Amino acid sequence: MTGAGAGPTAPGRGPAGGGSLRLWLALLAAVALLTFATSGIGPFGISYESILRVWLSPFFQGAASGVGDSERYIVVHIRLARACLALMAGASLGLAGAVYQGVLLNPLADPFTLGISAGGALGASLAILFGWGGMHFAGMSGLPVAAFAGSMGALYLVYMLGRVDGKVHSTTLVLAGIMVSTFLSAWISLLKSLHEDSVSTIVFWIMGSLSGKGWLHALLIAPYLLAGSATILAYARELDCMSLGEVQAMQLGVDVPRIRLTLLVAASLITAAAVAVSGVIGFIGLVVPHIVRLCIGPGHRRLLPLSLLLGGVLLLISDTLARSILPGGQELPVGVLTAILGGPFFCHLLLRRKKNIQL
Amino acid sequence: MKSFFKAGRPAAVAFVLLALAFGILAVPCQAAEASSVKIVDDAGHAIELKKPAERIIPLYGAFAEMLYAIGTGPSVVARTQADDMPPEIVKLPAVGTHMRPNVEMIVGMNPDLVVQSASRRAETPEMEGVTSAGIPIAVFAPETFDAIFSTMERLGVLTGHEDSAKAAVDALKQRLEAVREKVAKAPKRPRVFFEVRTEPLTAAGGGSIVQDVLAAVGAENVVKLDGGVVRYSFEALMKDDPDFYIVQSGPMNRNPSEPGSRVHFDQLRAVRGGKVIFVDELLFSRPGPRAVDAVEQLAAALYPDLFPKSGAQKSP
Amino acid sequence: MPSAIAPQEEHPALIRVRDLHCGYPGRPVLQSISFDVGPGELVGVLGPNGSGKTTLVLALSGVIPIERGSIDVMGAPIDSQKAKERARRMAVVSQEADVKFPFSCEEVVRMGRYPHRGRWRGNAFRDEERVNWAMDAMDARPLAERLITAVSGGERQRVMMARALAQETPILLLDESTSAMDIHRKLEVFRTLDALSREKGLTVLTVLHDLNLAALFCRRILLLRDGRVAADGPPERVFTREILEDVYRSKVLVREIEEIGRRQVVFLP
Repeated sequence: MTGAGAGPTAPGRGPAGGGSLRLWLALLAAVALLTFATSGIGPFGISYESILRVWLSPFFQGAASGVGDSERYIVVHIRLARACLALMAGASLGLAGAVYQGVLLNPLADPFTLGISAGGALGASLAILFGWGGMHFAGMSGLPVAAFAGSMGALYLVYMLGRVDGKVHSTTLVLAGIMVSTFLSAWISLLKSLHEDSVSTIVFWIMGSLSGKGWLHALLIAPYLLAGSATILAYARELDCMSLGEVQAMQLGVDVPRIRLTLLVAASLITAAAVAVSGVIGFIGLVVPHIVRLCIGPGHRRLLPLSLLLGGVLLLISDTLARSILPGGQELPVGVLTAILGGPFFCHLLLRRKKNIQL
Repeated sequence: MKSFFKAGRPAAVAFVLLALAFGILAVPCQAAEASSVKIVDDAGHAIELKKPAERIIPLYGAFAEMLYAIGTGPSVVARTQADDMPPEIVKLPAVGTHMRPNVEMIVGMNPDLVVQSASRRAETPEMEGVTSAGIPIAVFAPETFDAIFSTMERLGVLTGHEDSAKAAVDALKQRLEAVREKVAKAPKRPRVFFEVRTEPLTAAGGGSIVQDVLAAVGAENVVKLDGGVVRYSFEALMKDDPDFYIVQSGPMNRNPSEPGSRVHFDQLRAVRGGKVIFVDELLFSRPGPRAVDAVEQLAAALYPDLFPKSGAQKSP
Repeated sequence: MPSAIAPQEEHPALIRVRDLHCGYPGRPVLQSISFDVGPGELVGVLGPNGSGKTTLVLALSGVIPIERGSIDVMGAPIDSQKAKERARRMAVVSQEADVKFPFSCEEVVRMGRYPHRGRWRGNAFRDEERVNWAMDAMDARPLAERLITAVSGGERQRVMMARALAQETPILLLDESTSAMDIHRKLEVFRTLDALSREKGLTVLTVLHDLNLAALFCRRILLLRDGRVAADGPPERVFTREILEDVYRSKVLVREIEEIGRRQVVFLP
């Protein structure tokens, strides 16, 4: 079997020269437009004209005159803040998922493979049971702090267990992640059994929600996302090389042990920050990188930024539905919607491309 | 039986009458039958005891409180782990928890009646072990004051304390009526929001005892949704902008923070105006006799002018 | 320090291995290996299974640590060189060829430019030029758009060879990297390697199983047995009945093919 002819070819992608600047600007504009569109949805009827006025008010003095104070508050502090938080949390999960899959060379890896969700959930459960939710820090409860600490603890455990003679191996790491997750989940179950009356509160936190979050939460996750994604994007080429396997990557000049650790820590930190403010929102981190890979191929220089973008967009859409699909101000757990939306979309792509793509 | 008819369950009543008629036809005039007691529980099952129950295990705190309230406290032989009201119940052995009752311990206590809430009965198939041991399980689902009173009266029948149960119910009804009369004088009905849980924000909706407590003090719940507890968006809450913000504190909402310290909440008129009321979850969200205490406390907090000496706590 | 052969003083060695001991935790493999490789050499590394051929490639490419002795590549100890610096001196095609994600073959070849690139720089003209040249050299152009996860084993090896050539290094280490190709591909690849080593001074060190292929192209054979150098020299010195029967523990016939002036080896049933 030689030469050209029948057989799988790469789906439409040009030379891997990175996307053109114009393409990226267009994508960012689309995200901004989506944010604007979702900002018009909510129990409080606010016209798009008013929203546009409020959005433009920092640039044009008096643009928002005639818009009521509570409307202005809702547009800026509730809807826009929540949209930004959804974009950032989704972006964190999408990007982290791509990194985990790329570093662990495991298509089933997701941001929660290394026990970050279980750690965060245990931290939050303890905070809920001990009533740390009441300790407020500038409008934010103790829950995110406890969840973040829990995630870090879990991550530390996983790295300690995953190290074999000073080296971190992918398989050992995944195994350690599964072990730590199971172990910590057992503790959560124990806490739930011992405090039956609080079970629903713990369960609802774990299901994930962006309800009642504001700029402060967005501010908490922003530095992790910024620093983390800058680090990760800088190593896109290394991630490509690492797809050839550890030995070949090293022979290609990639300092695999150091870069693997750097990437995993960066992805873990942004995941932990996202989990801390939004709970455990599943599916995005697993499916978004696959969707992007099916569409534009596995090259990380486009996979990483597009996973970041698509993760954010998917969570923004899911959260908008979560807060508006039920009547009378009811909210759904957003994690349920990410799975409901992402699942069929992923299956559709998979079935369409199955003939010429190996996952 | 009177209040039972009032509760309006024609099918159940017909069933009782039919069963009664069969009983009379089949075994006419037996002396031993005179002391047998019989009710229809909320699952629609006829519960018949040869003699009034003397060893009772309530598998939910509200039922324990009812049993004590109707004067049958001494017949209660066990409790579930979390029950601590009235205080003397703590001395009794626990037979598992409300969610997961321990069948072996229950059977081992040799009770002649077990009382379980309808929602848990459906989710604890292992309780079949209790029925197959010949121990009847009466199932109740009180979600309103009427249902609480009906449950108390039926428990009175099962324990042979019909009269004291009726007396207890009448006393509770009188207290409710007293509150009703007083709050009727208020110039307007306050609109309130009842926070079940802070994160994620969850409200009490229709179909819960909280709704009935609110109705009893003439307050209007801004959350118009059914389903007991409702995950509610802050924006909808902001649109409702209630007169009072009620926060329950308890297992579902441990150590809730002062709403004034939370992000966004300063936008609420109630929070800015200090109209925040902290209440005890176990008093407000539990369909037992103390729900009447909850009514009195809440009335005092909502209408300080009408109730000069208040009872409700203003802060946790 | 004793060495199997005398260092060739007239040619400064590109690879200088001295008293090398290395292996895996709890399992020493190579024991006291010493040899030099000069510019433009085409060396075949042969030996039975478990003799340490792959371990030698891994040690030379800095993947596994050296326990004792030294490896110098272009005058500097291998373990003091940065990974990227090393990869600009030495390209490796190893046996592990399982690519996890569906990159196009051209993208895989382009990865060979990794050690030459700055972190944020895009593809330079020089990169493209070299990639195109490498694809042509391995006749991988028809595979360019196909997915590396979907080509045959032999095709994947061609792509991996092209990737290594794109790396533009003075040294090329190959580990069984033509094993899945059919015979005419193998011959083409070795003709190309032969030409590159003669004309461009490329130094090639290749692990092989096929003694006759080695005899056709390799100008020097390094024969390993049990982690030691059993013989080192031109094929006509190494491929003798005595040495081969000793190393492979099997009866062999060694024949001089006069038409081509090469030796060929036949193992007897």
